[in-house]
This record gives sequence, structure tokens and C-alpha cells, in this order.
Amino acid sequence: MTRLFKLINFEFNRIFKILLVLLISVVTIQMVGTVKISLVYLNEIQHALEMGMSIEEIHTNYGQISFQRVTGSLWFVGPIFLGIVSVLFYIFLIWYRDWYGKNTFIYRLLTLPTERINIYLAKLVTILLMTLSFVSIQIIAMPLEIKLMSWIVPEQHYIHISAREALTNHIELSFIFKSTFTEFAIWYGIGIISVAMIFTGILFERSYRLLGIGLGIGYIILSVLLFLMPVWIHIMLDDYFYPDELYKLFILSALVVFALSTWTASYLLRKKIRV
Amino acid sequence: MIEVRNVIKKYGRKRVLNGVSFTANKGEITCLIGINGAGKTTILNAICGLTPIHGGEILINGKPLSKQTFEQVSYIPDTITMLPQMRIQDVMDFMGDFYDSWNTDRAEQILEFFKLNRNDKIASLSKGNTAKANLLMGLSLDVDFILMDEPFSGIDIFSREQIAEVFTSHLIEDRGVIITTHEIQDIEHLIDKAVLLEDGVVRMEFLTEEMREKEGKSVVDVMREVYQQ
Repeated sequence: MTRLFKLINFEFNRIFKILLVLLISVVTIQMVGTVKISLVYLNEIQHALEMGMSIEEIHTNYGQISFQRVTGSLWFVGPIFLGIVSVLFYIFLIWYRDWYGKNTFIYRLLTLPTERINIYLAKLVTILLMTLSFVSIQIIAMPLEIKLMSWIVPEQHYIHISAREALTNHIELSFIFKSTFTEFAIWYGIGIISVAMIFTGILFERSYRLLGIGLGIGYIILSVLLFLMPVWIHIMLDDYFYPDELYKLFILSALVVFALSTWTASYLLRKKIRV
Repeated sequence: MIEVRNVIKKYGRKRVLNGVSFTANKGEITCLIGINGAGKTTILNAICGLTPIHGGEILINGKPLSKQTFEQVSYIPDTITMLPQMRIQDVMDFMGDFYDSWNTDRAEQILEFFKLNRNDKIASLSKGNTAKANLLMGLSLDVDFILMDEPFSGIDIFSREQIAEVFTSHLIEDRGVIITTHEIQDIEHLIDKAVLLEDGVVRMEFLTEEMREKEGKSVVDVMREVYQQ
């Protein structure tokens, strides 16, 4: 167990500097976006005032500004997608860098006196920590960005909305930011299981190389089908389950898929892996 | 003792190892000899579970590979196995963190013996010093067996001499060593047992001292007979 924590610490430290740069970039870009959007709005107002429009007329024509104008822009959504793409990219890089990096670190990892599944678990936790870092920084940054906008835009033109409201109203981002703990646990649980499936797929490729690509993809497809099995049964039996039962079956199938992924990964790491 | 019993290894349809058997004892230096592609590295990888085998078995002190194996066997491949951005000191800390068998005193001795600078980054090391850093990691573990893959490959003559010196020092004493090389001249006088490999099989296994005494042949003489037949 201690070695698992040491491995997690080691893996996380490997990405820490880049992650920090990415997190700072996310906040910086969004802050710059907030300032820019606020100033563009103020310019419009100024221009309208110079044209002799009254405040009421301005509000009718240009509206008041709220933080939602920022969340709807590329300045806000862009950095979030940068985070998502980074995590997706790192899901693959976290394994392949150990084989194809300048030094073949996989030799060391596989000859550590610990269960080899710990390597897999440490990488899985690192991806989770990376994801949660992006989510947390966003949750911390948003109230600050809102505050920044309220400083720039005069009160009479500004409509305050909270960070939660801004996110709840944002359909595209609602799959990242969850308003209840249960929802959060379900969606991020599905996320972890998906990453575990992909990791096992990668290990198929690392074990069987060319043939492994087919095996890996096959494994992922089978796992997804297994995970969706409750829905199949539900549809085939004409809405047989109550929502509560369906929910429990989903949790069960998720646990089965996760167990299958880790067991298969453990087998591949012990018996089939190649440096 | 490391027992390699009738090991078969295939890459696609090609059999790289075709029933290889030999033993390596504690306190002896066993040398796997063969031309490039003879399967020497594959054998070392198989002993450490770094490549799957398709037949036969490998036992270390009578037991198959497990996580405990790596507190008994240390593998020094021909490539550095630590991250380029790590300093030698970071490497030593990492090893001490993960291996119960890490011997800090010995690591310090080896650091001094090879005149390595603990603050140097792995990426900045010359080829010779990289090989020495690799040896530092492998030799500082209190293990029964050390596996070395081509430790002299591509390094300068002074580094070779320094590394060869290790074999006669207390750093190796009482431990079992399996070493692979295709440049036997560097270590011929140091090895206790030779295992000659060709086309995935052991062509001959002999104790070098016994061969010298009984038949008056050096390892190179035997190699000439076996490989040039």
C-alpha cells in the first residue's frame, strides 16, 4: 500500500509542472477574456452615450452585461477544452512515454518490488487528480472572474449571477460541472471506469503490439456493451425496471466493468507485457 | 540459484529461444555469449518478467517470478532506466524509497568509485557515465543476483577498465552475476561459467577454469570451435 502511494506521488510529480502551467494558462486566458469582453461592452455603451442615447435606450439595444457573456465566449470555453484535450492526450502519453521516452523508464517500473497493478492504479489516480485539478481551479477561478467583471463594469449596466448559475445555464459545460454530489460521483465514476477501460486497451497493445490494437479496441467495445447491458435488458423487456432498479443495475455493471478492467490489466502486466 | 529450464520464446513464427536451459549460481559470474540476435537480452528480460515466454520455466532460488524477486535480483539493462530530468541524487532517493534492499552506504561507495557527481542530471551524462549510473543503481541493491546486459557496449576504454574493476571488487563478491556480451575479451579472465548461445539454443555450457585446466582452452578458443564449425 505504501508503495502504491509512493507511486502515485511519483506519477503526479511527473506531470505537476506542466499541469501547473496549464492551470495558470486556463485562469489567465479566462481573466483576459473577462476584461476584454467587459471593455468591449463598455466601449459600446460609451459609443451609444456619445450618440446621445439614454441609459434605458442603451439597455434596450445592448442589454446589460452579466458573466454569462463570458461563459458563452471562446475565452472561457477554450481553456476548458484545452484542459479536456490535455487530460485525454495524457491518458495515452502516461503509458507510452515510459516506452518511447528518451529513457526507457518502463524497465524500472516493471522491476519495482511491488504488485505491477500498482503502476496501473497510480496512473489512473494521476489522471483523476489531473482532472480534478482542472475542475477545482475552474470552481475557484470563476467567482474571481465574476468579481473582476463587477469591478470593471459600472453597477447600473451589470447583472450579477453566481458561478453556479453561470454553469447551470451553460448546457455544453453541464457535463463537467455537477450541481449535486450524487451526480458528480456518477459522472466522474463513469469517467474513471472509461479511463480504466482505455488503460487496459493500451496494455493489450503494449503486450501484443499490432495484434493488440485489435484486441484493445475489441476489449473496449465489449466493456462498453457490458456497461450498457442494463439498458438493453430494460428496452428488450419493455421498460421492465423501475428507475431505482435501473440505477442500481448501472452501478453493478460499472463495478463489474471496473473489476474486469483491473483484473485483465493485472494479468497483462504480470504475464504478457513486453518492454 | 537461477534456473532457466527449456525456455521457448517466439516473435511471430520465429523462435528466438528454442528450449534454452542453464543455471547460474550465487558467487559465480555466468556469461551468456552469442552474436547479436542470439537471444541473450531476451533471456535476461524473460528472467525479470519483461517479456512473456511461450514454454519452459524460470526459477529464482527455487521460486517463480513474484514481486519479491526484485529484492533478490537486480537488472542492469543496456539502457538507462531513470528519467532524464532526474539528478543522480534523485535516482538514489527513488531507489531507497522503493527497494528495501537498497544499501545507501554501498551507493555512496560506488558514487565515489566511479567519480560521479550526485547533482548531475541523467540527461547530461556521457555514455560512459550513464553506464556507471546504471551500475550504481543495480549494484547498490543487496540482492543475490545481478543481471547485466552488455555493460561495455559503446563506452570508452577507461570506463570499460573501471567497470571491469568492479567485477573483482567486494561490490560483486558472493553474488551471482549473469552478464551478456558479444565482446568477450573485456571480461574473459573474470568469468566463471560460459553459456554459448546460437540460433536460440545453448550450444555449450562450461566452467572456464575447468576448461583451461583440463583442455587448455580459453573461452575464445572454445567459441572459435563452436561458432566456426
